[in-house]
Amino acid sequence: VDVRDGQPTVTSRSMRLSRRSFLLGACAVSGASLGGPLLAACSTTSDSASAASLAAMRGGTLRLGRNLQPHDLNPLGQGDNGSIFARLQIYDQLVEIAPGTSTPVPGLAESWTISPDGLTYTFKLRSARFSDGSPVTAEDVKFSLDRFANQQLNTNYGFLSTAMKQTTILDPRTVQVTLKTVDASFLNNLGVFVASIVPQKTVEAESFNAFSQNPIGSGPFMLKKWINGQVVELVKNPYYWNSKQPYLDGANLLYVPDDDTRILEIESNGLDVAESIPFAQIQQVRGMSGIQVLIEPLAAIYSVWLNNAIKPLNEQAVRQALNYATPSSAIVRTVFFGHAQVANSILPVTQYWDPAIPPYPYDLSRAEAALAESSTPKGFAMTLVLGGGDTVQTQTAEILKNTWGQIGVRVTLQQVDPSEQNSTLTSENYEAILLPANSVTSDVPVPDEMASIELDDKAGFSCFFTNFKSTQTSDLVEQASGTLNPTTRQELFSQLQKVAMQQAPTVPIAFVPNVLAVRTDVHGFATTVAGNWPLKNVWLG
Amino acid sequence: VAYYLLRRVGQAIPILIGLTVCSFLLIHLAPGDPARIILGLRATPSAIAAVRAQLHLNESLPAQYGGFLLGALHFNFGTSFQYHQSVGSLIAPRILPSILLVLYALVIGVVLALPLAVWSAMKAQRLPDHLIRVLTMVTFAMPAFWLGVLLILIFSVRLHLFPAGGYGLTFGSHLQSLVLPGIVLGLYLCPMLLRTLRSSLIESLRSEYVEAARARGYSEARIVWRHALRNSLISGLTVMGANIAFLLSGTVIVESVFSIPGLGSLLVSSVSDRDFPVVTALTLLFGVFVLIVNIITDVSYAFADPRVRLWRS
Repeated sequence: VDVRDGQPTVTSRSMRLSRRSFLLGACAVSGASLGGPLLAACSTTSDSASAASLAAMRGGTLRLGRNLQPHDLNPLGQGDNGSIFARLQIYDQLVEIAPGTSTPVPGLAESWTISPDGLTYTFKLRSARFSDGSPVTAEDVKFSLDRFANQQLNTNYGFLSTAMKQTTILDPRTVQVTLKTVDASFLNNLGVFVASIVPQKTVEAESFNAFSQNPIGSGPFMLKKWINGQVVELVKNPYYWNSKQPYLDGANLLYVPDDDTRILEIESNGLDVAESIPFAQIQQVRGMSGIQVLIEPLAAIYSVWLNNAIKPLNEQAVRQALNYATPSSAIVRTVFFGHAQVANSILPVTQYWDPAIPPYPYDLSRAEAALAESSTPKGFAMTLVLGGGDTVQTQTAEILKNTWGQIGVRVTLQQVDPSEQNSTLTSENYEAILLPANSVTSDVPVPDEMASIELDDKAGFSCFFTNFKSTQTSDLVEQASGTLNPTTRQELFSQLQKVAMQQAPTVPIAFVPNVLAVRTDVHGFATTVAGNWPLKNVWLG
Repeated sequence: VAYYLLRRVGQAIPILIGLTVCSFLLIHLAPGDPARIILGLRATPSAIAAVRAQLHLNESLPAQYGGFLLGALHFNFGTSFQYHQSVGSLIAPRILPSILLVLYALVIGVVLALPLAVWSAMKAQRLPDHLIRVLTMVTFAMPAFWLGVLLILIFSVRLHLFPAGGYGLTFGSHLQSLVLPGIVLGLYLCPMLLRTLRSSLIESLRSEYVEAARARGYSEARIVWRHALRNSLISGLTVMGANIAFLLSGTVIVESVFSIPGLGSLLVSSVSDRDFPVVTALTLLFGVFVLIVNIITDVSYAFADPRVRLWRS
């Protein structure tokens, strides 16, 4: 297995897990000092992705089964993955984040320069057209970036553009963005769907819903038909700037909400790709002929979220005790069937993740010792909220109830409707809460977004609604995001990871991968660490 | 006839209002903030507040309900919270798949139940009757989501006869996609229909006019199919009418299992999205549908049995 180019050439289905473990192991040895290439080295792509460079075949329509569907196709619309992943096929951004990398590559901008003080970004635009044939102009780019920067319009992802000061058109091919403060992740933020480039005239002329039903972008695909509850039919954008891509004539994003049906549909050749394969069914799908299971790295963190404002969870010793009493490796083994990684960080794995920092060991005597230092040495009672009907959360909660009980923490489990979980978390009306395994995911392959959301109480999310407050972590987050030097960033993020683990605002359990089933005649299919799949690289044959 | 229908529709109005009040209260009182569901975990409190105001969620419940009722009188059910399009345009394309599915289930249920009921009644308390009883008990007890997956395994994965799910893009493929979900729902309807028909057939077969027909030397087949069955149909129709409501609730599960873009799957996703306008409008639509079916059932008695008079001539 060649890990250097990030695209393994030798694989077998049965080896997939062990290879992933091996890759992570290899990263553990070499990752910390390299920083940048970490993600590249850790990525696994579709077995046949490496063959894409040989001879991609053209034509065909990909049938992709999802358990999500879009709510709207407007770049400034809802922030759910059902909508986001579909939008990313239709719209271009100035930069792109390719699967397996954390370094932005040219998108609508063919090149750019960053001023030495890190405050001025100058983008050279490529000559491109929207799917209606009209050219992508510097005015369109400015219009779109102004919307991205407008906190009134960009309500869901405004934190990605807070550093932006102004966008100016230097000439018809050049656009300059100035920042108020240095934001090391700014280029990555420009690759997120909210920074999509849209045609100014059409957007201004149409209502939000009209544009959402009939979106115009310059991306590899365009919308042919969207039947709510059934399918998003995409066809090749004939004006796409890269005349070689996409290879497919079209792609149907089919809404198949039932897990069993999705698996049976790909087995009976009704689908080419099935998203969200439950961990418990990986083994079964692997046994099906003509189908392989992709276990892709995802920047997702599965944790128990603790309300740090409530006694005795406001005490660091108590939170550490809960961490020591959490058998993460047993949970990874039984709940995730070994297909996840024990978490050694409060944040998901992105660039600058430090594999050298140890996770909390499962050690009940250390847990008791930590609890003994607190104001409740004999333990206490608390309620753990979890979503009903999800075996991952139910099994985790049962295990925690047992092991935490052994140090005197009496846990009451409270199952709620999944649609209630987010409001329970954000209303901060909970003591401890579990969320679905892949629901807390970074949108960018760098740690800045999640670090500010989870560990900087000044970012406006009360540290992901945990009420955690630490000047040490928020200073580290701001310093790390405020410098462009990769070496300094690596040092600061390593230190942040260490300090955050020690202060333990949450109980991190596992880094959860993205699991998909793909038919073997699908080539070039791979996902980014944000979980999406650029379909322009995919071909059938 | 017109007067009768008018009276029935008049009776239906308070029922429908009660129904919308109940569903409106239930979905509004359920925990879970639609604004938070729309904006996600990364939105700021001020953005949440703005969306709540935009959706009129800060108004009192009676004011919100009044707004809904006023709109409903003009056939305007508002705008979906989640999909930003009008509720009417969201629901309209979902009606046909559900109606086709219910029709499929009815046809399959009736086609299976009728001959089996006749056979059962003629061989009452003998082996075929017992066998049919056990068999229908088994199909009745099977949960729809389990039976659905089983049928997909056999007919789609092994035999490749029908698609495993979805609805297809042409009318022909719609019909093909609905076969398996239709069977699941039909098998659910069949036992109820069969048991009712069987017992009323047995009763008819013991009656005096059947004795008289037998005495005249009519064949047993003619007696059953032409005389006894017609008399037993009323109870069958009642059961069928009452069970249309059950079939509709069955579509909720079956449509989700088979990924059919019908009203049932829309209801499921709207409830979990806390999409209040869609949920209330769908409940109203289901209510109207059940009431219409009930009226049709009552009217059809008159055709099945000339002795039934719904109105004074």
